[in-house]
Amino acid sequence: MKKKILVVEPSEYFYKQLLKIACKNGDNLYVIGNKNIYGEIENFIQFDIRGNLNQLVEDLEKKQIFPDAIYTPSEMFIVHTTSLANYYNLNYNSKEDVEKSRKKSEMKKYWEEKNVLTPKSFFYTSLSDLKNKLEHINYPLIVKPVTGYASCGVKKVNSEQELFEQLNKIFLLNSTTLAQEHLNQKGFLLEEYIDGEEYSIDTLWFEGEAICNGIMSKGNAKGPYYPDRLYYTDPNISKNLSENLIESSHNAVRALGIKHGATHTEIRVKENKIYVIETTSRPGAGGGFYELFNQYYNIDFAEIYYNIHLFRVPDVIDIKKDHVVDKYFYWYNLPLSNRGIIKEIFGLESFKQNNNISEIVCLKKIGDKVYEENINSGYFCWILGSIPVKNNDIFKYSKKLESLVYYSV
Amino acid sequence: MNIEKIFNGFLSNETIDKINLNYEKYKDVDLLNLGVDSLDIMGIVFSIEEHYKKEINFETFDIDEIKTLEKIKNFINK
Repeated sequence: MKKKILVVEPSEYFYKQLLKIACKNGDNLYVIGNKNIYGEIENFIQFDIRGNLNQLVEDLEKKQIFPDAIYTPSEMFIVHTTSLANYYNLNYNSKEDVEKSRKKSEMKKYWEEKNVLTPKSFFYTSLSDLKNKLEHINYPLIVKPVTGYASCGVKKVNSEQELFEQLNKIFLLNSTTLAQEHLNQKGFLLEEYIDGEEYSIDTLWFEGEAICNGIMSKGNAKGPYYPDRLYYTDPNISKNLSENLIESSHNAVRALGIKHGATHTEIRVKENKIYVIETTSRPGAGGGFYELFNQYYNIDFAEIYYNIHLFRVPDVIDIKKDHVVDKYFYWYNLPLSNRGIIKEIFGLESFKQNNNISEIVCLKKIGDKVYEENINSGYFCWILGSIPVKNNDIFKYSKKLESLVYYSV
Repeated sequence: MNIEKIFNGFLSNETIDKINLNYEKYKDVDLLNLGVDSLDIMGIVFSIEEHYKKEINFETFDIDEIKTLEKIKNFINK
């Protein structure tokens, strides 16, 4: 029977992957979004999910759309999408559990209670709240907004002056971009700085059981900013480390009560200790890694993601066997270089001459406004591809990608 | 209040012209309903800061203070 699937604000890139699967299954895929960025598609429903959901429900009923699945791969819309899903008794997770992952101060509290190792952190509601405690602060430390996306607002600071400068930016984000999510999360977090290799673990869950996991390495970024830059599959990660990363990420997710759908967990490892930085109930890069996992592990993450939201029970997949050993599969997010309105974008066809690039995904277009990376909540452009492990330094290679695609304002 | 200066790049020229011709009709309409993208609110704040040399205390700033054209006008004149 044809299923009706509602996806909220996917990237155009991930939407195309989901659409392929929907067509294969004979299902109807609807996109709910504030702006139509998907071209001429039949099933676009213009609506800001952060608005009045009763209005949307009325609209869906008028159109005779009774959804069999509702989800979003986009951070900003997780809580509201969960509310909508729950309204239709699609109880993947409760709104309360999903909210825990959107409010870092709460997330940390749950982890500390459940003995999930995470950097020490302190939540402050205001500057005056902080000013009483300044003498107890040790530098360097990480300062971040309580909610956020794409690491916007996150900075390593080395002094009180740097701290206050960054807090001003966080207050700007809190009162503008982040305020749109209506989570009423003012304030900021000061967090212990962990100097160590960074990893991410993407997991697909079915009613509390982990179905499959994808691990990405990120290197050891020294800051001061931590934009999402390079993620790559790394055949050199030991079996022991892989298992420990997966176990830590699962403990972190379970501690929040999240049990169904996609999760993406960020971890730092220092002196063999695994620190969970954060987790969220959506795929890494909004689904941007799934094609790389497909090639590396030979597991179709996008298809499993699609099916678990229809409560189609998947087999548990062991990733320990059968992954590619001689290539890095990478995702590289090009930096935002300057603020303004994009006048021209250069180099989008570069991948045609480069065997190591499989795709360039540009998420901005001419006329879009962009800001400095640290306060920009979106991405500019991704480059996806692979290079042989032998004789290649993935970091040096990926840095060169920045000259391939760029924009002027 | 100079609508074009503040909203250049955030509203279409057509919308800016309509507002300039009949401000009273649009002054209390939510910016998002005028066509402003929710992610552009930060840009509009920068625009106000830049063009009106207004120093904004973001710790106490409430996004509702600039929800409509009339509110922006009052905010600038505060």
